[in-house]
Amino acid sequence: MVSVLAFDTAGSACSAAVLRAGTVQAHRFAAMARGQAEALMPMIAAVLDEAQTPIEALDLLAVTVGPGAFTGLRIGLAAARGLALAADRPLLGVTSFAAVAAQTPPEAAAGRTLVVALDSKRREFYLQAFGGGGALGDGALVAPEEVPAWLPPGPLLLAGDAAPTLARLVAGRAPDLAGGAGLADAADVARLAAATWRPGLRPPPPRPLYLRAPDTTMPRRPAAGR
Amino acid sequence: MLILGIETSCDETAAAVVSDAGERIRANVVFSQIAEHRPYGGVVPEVAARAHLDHLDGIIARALAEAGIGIKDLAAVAATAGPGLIGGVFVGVMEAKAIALARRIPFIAVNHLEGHALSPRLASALDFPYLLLLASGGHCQLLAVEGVGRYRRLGTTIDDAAGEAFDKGAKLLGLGYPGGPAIERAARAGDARRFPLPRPLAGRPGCDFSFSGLKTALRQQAQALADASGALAADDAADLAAGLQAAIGDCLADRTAHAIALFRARWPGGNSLVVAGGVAANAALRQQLAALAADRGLAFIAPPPALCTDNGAMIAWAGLERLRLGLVDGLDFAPRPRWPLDPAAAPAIGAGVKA
Repeated sequence: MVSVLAFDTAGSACSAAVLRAGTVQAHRFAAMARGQAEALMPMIAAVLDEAQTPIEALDLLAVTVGPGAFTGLRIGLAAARGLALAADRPLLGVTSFAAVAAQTPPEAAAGRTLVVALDSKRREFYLQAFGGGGALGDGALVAPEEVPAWLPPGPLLLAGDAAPTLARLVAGRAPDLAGGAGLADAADVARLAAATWRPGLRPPPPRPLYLRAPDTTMPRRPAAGR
Repeated sequence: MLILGIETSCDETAAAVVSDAGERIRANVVFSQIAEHRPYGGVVPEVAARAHLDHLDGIIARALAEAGIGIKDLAAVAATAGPGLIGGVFVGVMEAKAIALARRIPFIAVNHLEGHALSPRLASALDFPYLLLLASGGHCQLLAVEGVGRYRRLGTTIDDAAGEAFDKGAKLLGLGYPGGPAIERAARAGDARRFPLPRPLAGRPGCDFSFSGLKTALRQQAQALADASGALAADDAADLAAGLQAAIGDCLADRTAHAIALFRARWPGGNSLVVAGGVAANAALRQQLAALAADRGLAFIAPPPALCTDNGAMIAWAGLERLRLGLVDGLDFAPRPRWPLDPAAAPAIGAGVKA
């Protein structure tokens, strides 16, 4: 009878869900490129209210850790860490890759390798491959020219909001598209978190998955000669 | 009544617990990210935002522990919601909103500048109105403070902030980051009269500031003195640092003197000059402005240095002042990268969000 509150703001959407005993009790999803800092808390309040679940009655909190927009994934993680602190609940992180991959069950992939491609808002792709019910290697930031070498051999099924762009890039491989918007959804995040929950679970705070170092320029010379 | 204050708008991750009764500051924890930013010679917004997320919940827990209270004892939570480096502001605002939601207590979105502006009332008894010189790494303004949420801007920088002049000057002289303390330290051994630097706008009418010309003059002097590798001799750097600090001090004093005349005429009930913001932590400048206030018959008030630089206590205090007036915010509040204290004041084109 595990009760989970999950939410996501890492990609181009904002969503929240309450799951109890394997059933989604309340759920909100809105596509948005920005504005998650305004939308998230009222959305969480709404799903808790609709599910008639006070925060104290939850067993677990779950949030996406990215990859995605840096600010967006921090909005979700900061909210999650604040809730975990204030309500003294365990908090689990789920990658945006896993959340999107969960929309395609293993049997639907049917002999193809599932590749989740997420929009990095730049020329590169965020990529991770899945097969046999789990991830095949780590997620990565991959430049378009490196994509052919990065992709696994054999038939491909592409998911995620960058899947159509990726499909055009590797049209020669004739990949299939999983379809849909390819955005992470809190309902899937809740199910994934519930599946890993066990009594007494106290994981360390989830780490953001940025996959890209901050843009910085080192000073050429810290003295007067410039 | 106990209030949690959160500050994440620049390179300090800070949380504090402030009470409206008895000893006011129950805990004031500041984690400085100086080490994270030092390799870059200044604050890198994305590096700052990442560090805020990594550290903030631990800093909040530490503030609660130092105050000897639990999260259930809080009556409200306040956070800097702008202006500032917006990536960090998002982190503080979201953790604050989450605590407010989980504990069912009010959330107060605090203007970082109002945190500085009201901070002298946290440290000492001070009635409205007062004249405020707010000088920090991001801002340089003269304001008449009429009340909570009621400000009239008398002057602002039209280009760089005063703290920015310190930071850029220190970088130019190879004195390191952060620049304010570095310049102050080097200036102690220096001769301010050796290199006369300009005092932009000094003697001109009005209360606006300009520091970019000063930076250019400093660069020219430094380049003339540098050796082939671009390095400066220690005594040259010290003399230039002293010259820079004196020039900034004279600019601040000249413009503040104009503002005092204006303030006197329009707010005859006011009798205090307050300086706040990180630049007000500089002992030489405090002295110079205190002398100016004494000369003009005004009380001089500067919060202790720890409350001048960014901290959570001033945010908690501003939150408390707003809460008393019923000024609370919704959980849909949108952080504001630009958020002037006096929205009626004309924008200063070259200063952007600094005005």
